[in-house]
Amino acid sequence: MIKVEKIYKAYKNFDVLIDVSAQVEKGQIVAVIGPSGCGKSTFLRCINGLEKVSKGRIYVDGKEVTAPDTNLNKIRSEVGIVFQQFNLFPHMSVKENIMLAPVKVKKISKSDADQIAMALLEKVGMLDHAHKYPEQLSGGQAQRVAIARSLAMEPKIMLFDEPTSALDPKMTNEVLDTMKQLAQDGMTMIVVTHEMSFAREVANKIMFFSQSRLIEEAAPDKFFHNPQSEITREFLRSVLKLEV
Amino acid sequence: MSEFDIKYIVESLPYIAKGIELTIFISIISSILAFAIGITIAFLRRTDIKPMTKLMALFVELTRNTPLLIQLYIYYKGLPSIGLNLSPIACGIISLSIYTGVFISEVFRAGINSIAHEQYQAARGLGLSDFQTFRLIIFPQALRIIIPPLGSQFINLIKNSSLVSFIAVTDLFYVIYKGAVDDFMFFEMFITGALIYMALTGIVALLTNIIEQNLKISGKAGSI
Ligand SMILES: Nc1ncnc2c1ncn2[C@@H]1O[C@H](COP(=O)(O)OP(=O)(O)OP(=O)(O)O)[C@@H](O)[C@H]1O
Ligand SMILES: [Mg+2]
Repeated sequence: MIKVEKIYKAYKNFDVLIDVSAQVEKGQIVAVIGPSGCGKSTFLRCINGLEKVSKGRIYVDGKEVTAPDTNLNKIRSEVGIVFQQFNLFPHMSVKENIMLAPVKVKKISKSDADQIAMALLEKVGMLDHAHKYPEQLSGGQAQRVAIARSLAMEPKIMLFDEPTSALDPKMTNEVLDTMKQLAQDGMTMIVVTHEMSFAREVANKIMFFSQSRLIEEAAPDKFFHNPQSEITREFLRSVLKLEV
Repeated sequence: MSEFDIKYIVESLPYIAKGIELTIFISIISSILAFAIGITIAFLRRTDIKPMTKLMALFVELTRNTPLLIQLYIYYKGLPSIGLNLSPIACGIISLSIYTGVFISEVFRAGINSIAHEQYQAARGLGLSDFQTFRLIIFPQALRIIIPPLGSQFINLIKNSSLVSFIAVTDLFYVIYKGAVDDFMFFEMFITGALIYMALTGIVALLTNIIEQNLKISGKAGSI
């Protein structure tokens, strides 16, 4: 579904990603973890072409994102992305936020988009808030609307960049529940997260980044109990207080 | 100095009205064009076509930092020499539109830059094109922020339009000045003129306020 081949990303002369290769299969739930500033967000944004790689190739569903003649808008409409700060459009109602891309990108009719929006709002438990504006929502509600907004494009892959980091524990659970439901529906997901419980319980692969490199890739069980790299062990010991 | 001659003003009103008409005409047309020019320059300056952004930046600097009066003469004397014979009114409108358009582009640029980059990423992440993102996400949010400075630019435009009298356009300033000089009615005409300009700019200020009230943003721009 996603194939990343030896990508590099540098800002000016600062390396953010160094020689990262990875593969994600259809239906897989990947948790991306690692210390702050190690390049997790950049990695995610390279996958849907929001950032350009300096070197290397990325394929999504057989199409090369990194090729110069790729229609990135098309790829982005098939790869949803959800951000830490929700980034809803403040001048549009909840429903308008969701209807925007289907109408403007997929060119479907407003009435069809309306139905899709209402169905998705129901799915994320926000049906009663369709006519509110983003500023009237709590963080957890806003994030669920942001997820619905991405889903409205019927993406094949969903990228999440620390979707719960700006939320309190109760709201975090609301959003995690929505994401678990998505996982059960078979969505391919890459989730940058600090929620180790989510990584452990829901993910079927962990990618651990440190200092711009992909250090380790493993199933959660193996990753948390029998990590191969000394850098991973150090991270698990110091950050998660695990004995490995 | 004789006393203030109201009768003279009343008698001159039909003549002054002609000047008001022309000033309003020039101001409205120039405002519309300046707005379009302002958006266009602002949009072109945020593309990643380097020669285009450089050229626009240079044009903005040249226009912003030279007197409007000189630009007016350059268009007035220069355009015929490249085969474009336009009326003085047209030349006045062109120079006012470009001059104000450049200032408006800077107002837009500040407004656009104040919209968080995350809004741009969220829109592009959904598959919207660069232009759609500008038109549907960035611009509507920026517009709400820039209404007051935009209003000031239109007010400046009305005041600056008085310069077109230098190329023999019979606008409000021209008729005022002519009355003042020909009939020695300096006070009468200049004070009347000042009041009329104040009324015109006052209308724009009022409109700006009304539009601003009606466009009240629902949500803090960019933060959610
Ligand atoms: N536009 C940019 N220009 C220059 N440097 C940048 C830019 N964006 C990110 N960086 C740098 O790249 C590095 C990686 O950033 P990135 O946001 O990918 O890290 P991250 O792992 O997501 O961190 P966090 O956990 O704090 O979100 C950081 O050191 C950051 O300062
Ligand atoms: Mg990040």
